[in-house]
Amino acid sequence: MPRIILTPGASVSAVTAPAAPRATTQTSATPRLHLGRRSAAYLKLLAGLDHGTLPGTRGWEELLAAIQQEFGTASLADVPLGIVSKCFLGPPYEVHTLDLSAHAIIEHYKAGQAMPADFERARQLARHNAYALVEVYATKLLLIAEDGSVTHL
Amino acid sequence: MSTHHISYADLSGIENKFSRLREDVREVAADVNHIGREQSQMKSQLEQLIDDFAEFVDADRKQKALQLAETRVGVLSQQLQTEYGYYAEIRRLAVGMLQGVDVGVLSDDTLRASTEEVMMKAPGYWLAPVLVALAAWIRQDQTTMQRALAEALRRDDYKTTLFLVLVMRRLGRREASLQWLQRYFRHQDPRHLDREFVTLLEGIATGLFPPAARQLMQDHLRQWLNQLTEGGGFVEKQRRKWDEFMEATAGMVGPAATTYPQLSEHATNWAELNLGYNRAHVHELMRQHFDNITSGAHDFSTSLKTQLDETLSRLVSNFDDEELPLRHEVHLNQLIVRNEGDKAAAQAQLAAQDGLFDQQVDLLQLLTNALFDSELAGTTRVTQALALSVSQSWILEAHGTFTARARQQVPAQAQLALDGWQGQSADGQNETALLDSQSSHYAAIMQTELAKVAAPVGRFVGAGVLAAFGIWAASNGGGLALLGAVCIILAGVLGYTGWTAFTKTKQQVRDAVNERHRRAHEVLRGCLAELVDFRRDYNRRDVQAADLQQLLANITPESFSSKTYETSRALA
Repeated sequence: MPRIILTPGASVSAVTAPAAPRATTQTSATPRLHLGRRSAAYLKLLAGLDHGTLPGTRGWEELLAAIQQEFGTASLADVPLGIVSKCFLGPPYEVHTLDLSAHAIIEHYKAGQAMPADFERARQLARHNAYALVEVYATKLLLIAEDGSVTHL
Repeated sequence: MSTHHISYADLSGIENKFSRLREDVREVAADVNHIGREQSQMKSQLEQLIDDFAEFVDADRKQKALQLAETRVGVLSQQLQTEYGYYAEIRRLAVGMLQGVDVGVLSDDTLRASTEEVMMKAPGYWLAPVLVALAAWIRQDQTTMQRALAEALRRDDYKTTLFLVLVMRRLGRREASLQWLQRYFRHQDPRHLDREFVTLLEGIATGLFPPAARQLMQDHLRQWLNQLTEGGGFVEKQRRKWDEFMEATAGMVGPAATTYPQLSEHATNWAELNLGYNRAHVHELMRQHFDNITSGAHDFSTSLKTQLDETLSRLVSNFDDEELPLRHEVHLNQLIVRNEGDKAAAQAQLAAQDGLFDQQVDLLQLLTNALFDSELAGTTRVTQALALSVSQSWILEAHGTFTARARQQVPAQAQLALDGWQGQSADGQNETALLDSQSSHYAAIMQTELAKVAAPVGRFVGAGVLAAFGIWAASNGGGLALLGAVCIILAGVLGYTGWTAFTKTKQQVRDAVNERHRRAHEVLRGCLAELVDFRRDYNRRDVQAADLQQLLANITPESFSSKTYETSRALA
């Protein structure tokens, strides 16, 4: 039985150049939008919007700081216009909105009560149990689940 | 002014002339008919002649092509024999050697003599030095082996590498096959993978190579995927494809109208409701599809071993690139002979066979095809599982978006319309309110319909006038008294019948409207009951999206074929 092992490694590399791929094509490198998870702190803070009012100015500052922190120093287009989520105040309230374009105003909406057009398209998804909240942008909606995972629509 | 008399005799002469003229015309017509018949006969004969002639020309052309092809096959085969005869010899030798190595009965001298002679004869053929190297390896002559190997790699690096990967695997030299495999991978461009790559990939996934080979493969795949998915375009395209696939799957679910007959008839937005319902069904169908792939405890190792060995025998028995143009020519002429001179048919056959030997495939295309349609991609479930583990992230994304869109677009309210009444219900809970609204609708209808029933005013006025006259006449007494009495009775009859007819018509209208009302209530209740079922069924399907997400999220590249691997390990 032969004992020499026929390999392209040590024995051959001395006499041959390594194999080069026969053809390669270049890819264009454009970075892809990465939809990272949202932090638990962010979710918790937004979930607390129903528990009465936020404690005065400090509450507002805390909320805005958390949102600022979540989106980093993103450009204006990357910060949502507002956030829509289920309202736990109970009937007749259905959803509430946090309007970030107008100094963080919280509005609670009853079933059947009309919302601003931007927020209206997020209404049905905000009511769905699969999503904790919906971030509304000018051209898209981002759906955030309880675990912080993000779905793009 | 003179008058000209025409006698009867003159007239009869004219008549005779006329009748002769008629006969002449008839004869001419008969002649024309005859000529027409003859002409059409001649035309069909001429057509027959043209057909015969074309057939003759075609047959003659085929005959000539056949003769020419026969001559060419002879001449070209001769040329092939002269120029590349020893290539065939090398191939025969390779096959013999492999069989000999398999059973371990080959004398060193035989090997050395035959292989080295071959090397001298074929200065450009990669298989010759490979055989020399193999022979040197068998008799443990390392110097010759390295020299021959270097020469083989110089002549055709790719084929030599592939040959050695396969031979080493066959001989159970795990370490060596792994080393050559590494070199083989370096040869591959993920955009143009060779046809054999799929076979090797499946062989590795099934565990026909040492375990380290899988790590090697996964590293390469990851690297290639990173390279291919650098630009956002590709992933975007994949997501779109999956989205289309899911939409198409929803389209195949079929209408739910049979399950919800009343709702489908009376909901004006039934099409949207049905689409949402079908889309929610996709989660379950996709889960089955992927379950099918991931739970495959099938063992493909036997068929894959055969495939790998076939690749090896193809490699040693296929013609070399140098010979190909000539081989091609011979093959075409052989096909012409086989098709009895029909050149077009022969070329079509050749074209169909041509693609078989130089197909290249794009990695991502391969993986996607494997998941959408494994038969089309010619892959086994092993590759499907691998493809799934690779595509998992963008399937997950596409499914998330598809689901969100489906949930956004499914109507929150069923818009009901029946018999002119309109209402809406989200889940059938507002039955009382809707029934009340329906009742007011019918109350309004009742009013309108009753208003339409006109009282017979003319008849009452007539009766009144008649009665007044009757009273006046009766009060005058005398002969008019009897007439007055008759008039009064008549007026009474007239008034009474008019009144009863009027009330009867009104009652009929009331009954009809009440009946409509009753039936509409029934239908509405039916619709709402169906809507309750519909929403329950929809929700049951909708929550399965989470199960599918869970299933997809749990797939890791490392988990895709452990079962098949273990099976083949056990077999080995």
